[in-house]
Amino acid sequence: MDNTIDASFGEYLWCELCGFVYSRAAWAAADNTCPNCGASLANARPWEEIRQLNPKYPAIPVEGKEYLL
Amino acid sequence: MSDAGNTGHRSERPAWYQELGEYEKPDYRSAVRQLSTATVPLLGLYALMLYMATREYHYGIILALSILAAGLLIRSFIFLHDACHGSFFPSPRANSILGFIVGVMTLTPYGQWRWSHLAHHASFGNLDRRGIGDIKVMTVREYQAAPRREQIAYRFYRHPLLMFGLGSTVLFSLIYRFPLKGAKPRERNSVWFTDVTILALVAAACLTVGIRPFLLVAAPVWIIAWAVGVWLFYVQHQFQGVYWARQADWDFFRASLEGSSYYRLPKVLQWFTGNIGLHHLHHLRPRIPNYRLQQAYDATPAVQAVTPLTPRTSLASLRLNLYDEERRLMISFHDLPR
Repeated sequence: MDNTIDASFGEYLWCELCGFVYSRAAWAAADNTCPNCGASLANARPWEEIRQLNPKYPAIPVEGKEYLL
Repeated sequence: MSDAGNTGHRSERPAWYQELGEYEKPDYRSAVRQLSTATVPLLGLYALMLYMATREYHYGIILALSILAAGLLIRSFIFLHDACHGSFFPSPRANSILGFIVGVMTLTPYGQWRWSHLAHHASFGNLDRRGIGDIKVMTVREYQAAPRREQIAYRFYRHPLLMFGLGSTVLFSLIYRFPLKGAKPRERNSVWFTDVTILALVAAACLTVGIRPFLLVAAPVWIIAWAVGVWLFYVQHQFQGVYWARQADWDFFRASLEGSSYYRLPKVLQWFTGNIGLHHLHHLRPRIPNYRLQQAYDATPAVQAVTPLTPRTSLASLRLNLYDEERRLMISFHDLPR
């Protein structure tokens, strides 16, 4: 599998299955899956998208932390 | 459909998929309304049934009421299911509390169930990632290569009487009492905490109404609800034409639309099963609450294009036991080449 994740995701990816955030590199290192629950990139969303819905969230999230939608 | 689910090229995701995101917002009003029309009446019904059991009413009446109670318990379990996806209440804490309570009511350790269920969402339809949170499916090749005793065990496992009868009861009452292999400490703790709470409730029941009336009421409700629950989970991913693929070819959109069924039930049953029949849509967008699924379905022609299973056509799924990778279809044990 190609482990280069589309740059349009940004630096951090939020998993819509488990709600955890990891860096693009961490997702890539886990074979393009969520390092916490194994979800595929189809269930990943750019951190910026989540921030737009939750403006109080930090620009740089804590990796491995669960954030609500 | 492209393999957008695997490559991560977000631009390849269809517009209608993005639009479905609008239905993902949970709200307290809908959640409380659902609780007040299912879980709260269920508690009242339990109280009535316990009263009748302690006053030696005819057990047939209690059994009849247990069918209604089981329906309400199934609907309550859908709330737990939503909570596990963070889609029932807007608050994670409220979701966790509800999940735990309904978990105790159904003898399900919420934390561990959530973990295994998310694993199921991450791996459904993927032949290389079977084993957590799913119903066991062997391929024809695996079955033919397996030792005789494993073949017999699999045949027993897949037998409808065992799977939906004894199997579902053993799963919820016994297997769920222990941590699953591979469970993390948080999930393991959820099992022990649920077990202790169940024990405390049983002890309280013994001291108040007595163990006999408690079991006369609770057992049939559990057994019916567990059997129906396992049946629902079965037909969601076991049907003719179901999508399975190896890791290298696995596609999220195909797995959602072709590997998860649309089980179209009569409205009354759709209510009791909390719209879980719209399962293809649920896998596409697991954060859409059950109370918005029908609305999302009605607005999205792409998900309406899926041929539904009906109660009658779903019965054919009972004969599907193995996945034939060469022909890409599920077959019965009787169809095995001799």
